[in-house]
Amino acid sequence: MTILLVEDSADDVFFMQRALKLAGTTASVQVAEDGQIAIDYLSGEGPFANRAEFPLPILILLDLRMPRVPGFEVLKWLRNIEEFSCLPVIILSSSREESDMKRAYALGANSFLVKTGDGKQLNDMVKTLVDYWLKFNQAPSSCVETSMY
Amino acid sequence: MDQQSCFKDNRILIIAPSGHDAENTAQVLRAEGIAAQVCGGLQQACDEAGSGVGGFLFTHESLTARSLVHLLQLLEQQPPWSDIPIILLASGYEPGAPIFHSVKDLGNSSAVTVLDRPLRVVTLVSAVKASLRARRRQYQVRDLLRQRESILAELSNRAATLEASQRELVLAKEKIAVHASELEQTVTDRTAKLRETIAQLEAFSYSISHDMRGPLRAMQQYSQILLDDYSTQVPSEAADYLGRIFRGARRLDRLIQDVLTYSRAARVAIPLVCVDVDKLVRDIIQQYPAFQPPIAEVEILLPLPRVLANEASLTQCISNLLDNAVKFTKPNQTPKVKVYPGGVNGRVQISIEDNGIGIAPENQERIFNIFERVHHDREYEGTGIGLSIVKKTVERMGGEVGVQSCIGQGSIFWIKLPSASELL
Repeated sequence: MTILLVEDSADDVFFMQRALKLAGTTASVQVAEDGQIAIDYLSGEGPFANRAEFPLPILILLDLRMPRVPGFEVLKWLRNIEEFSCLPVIILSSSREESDMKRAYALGANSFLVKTGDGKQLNDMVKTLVDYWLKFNQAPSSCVETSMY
Repeated sequence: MDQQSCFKDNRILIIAPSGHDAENTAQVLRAEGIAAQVCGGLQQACDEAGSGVGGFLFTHESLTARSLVHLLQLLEQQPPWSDIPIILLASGYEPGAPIFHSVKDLGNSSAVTVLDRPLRVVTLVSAVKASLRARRRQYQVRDLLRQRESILAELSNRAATLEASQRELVLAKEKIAVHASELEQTVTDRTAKLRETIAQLEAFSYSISHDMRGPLRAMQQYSQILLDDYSTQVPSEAADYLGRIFRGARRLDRLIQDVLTYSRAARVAIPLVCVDVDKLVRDIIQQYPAFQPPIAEVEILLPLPRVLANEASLTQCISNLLDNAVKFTKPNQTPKVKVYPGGVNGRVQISIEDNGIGIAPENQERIFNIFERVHHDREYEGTGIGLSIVKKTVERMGGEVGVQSCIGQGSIFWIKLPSASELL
């Protein structure tokens, strides 16, 4: 079970990894430092060709403001690829702007969470997130439509 | 009219070539108060008449073929108002006489009175007076005509002036129209430019504030981790410093968030719909432990009506007011807050009454201004933006906000919004 964390801030990566660990998840966390790396990872480009080492995630935590390719572009790219069209994507942003939320949901985000500076609140949030998305939420094993007959 | 021309206009020109007839006749007339002037011949009389004449008086001897031509010419050249009276003194005036034909010619183009000689003075005088009276009438007509001329001239003058000013007016109107359209274009251009600048500024402040919040979150969380995970290794003085770092970062983070909220409240369109305030307030209370026992007691006294508002914006306003209501309390006092409705004239008033420290009258206005604070941060934490967000948002929803308070006796903050009852 793999979570792909797309986040350019080393601090936020650290806090998120810590919170995930505290939440007690067994999922492994892979980090992409910007949108382009995330796209490369998902498409198995270059160093990411080895799926044993870089398995496809069951959940993506996506920051919005990043260098090179921003989060919205990653989301747009993902939803245009059948394989990833129903992969759960959770936006993790410091923005509370209505316009950002609307755009994220319109592009097919499954959830929108606002980054907090309060460590305790972050831990609560990540615990809930892990419980919901990794334990209770049901997602198809593959987004590719296969004929039953 | 001067005396000279008055005399000339009223004089009788007398032509009698034989003997003392002319002079004698003139004397008779003068004796009757009639201006009379003797002329040497009919031609001289015609010349003299050019400067004004009351009438001609002549004997038929003076009427030669040549002088008749002169006279007829003069009579024909008269202005339309003029018909010079002529008195002809004739002897043996009867059809067949040579004078008869001359008089007939004359009669076609003038008012001729023929008096047969010998004649009595009274006949002459009365004929002359009648002629002068007719002539005076002609002069009156002349004067009226002149008056009419001058009035017409004045009128046409005025008409010309009016026409000129109308032309000017048309030109001025055209100029104004040109200016107006130029002005409109300028306004359109500048507005577009201004919008662009504002959009750039917004994008800038959006980027900068989100970029600033990253490091602040890091400061908060690292200091928190140190305090939580290394509490046994951190001396109490160091723990105090870490606490200060945490609080400083949190404060700055809140400030940035509040400024963002304020600028959003000021610029983003706020669509208004019918909002169930009762449910909205109950939801807020349920969502935040700070509004629940044992921390605080928030009570809705009467069901709150529906208003015309924006749900997200109104939630922000009521949350901010409730935050203040439970925050500004005396030490060791449980905040007690009452929420109740009121209203007049189609407006709903929602009051939030607390048992807090109250606000001095001199501060009741300024607390709604951005960054205005009454207390030190060490007493009551805050950014000084919360109430200005409330004010801005309520005003943008077409409402009002205000406060009633006495120091030490709590405060009542109220917001007035349009009632939604007519929508139901």
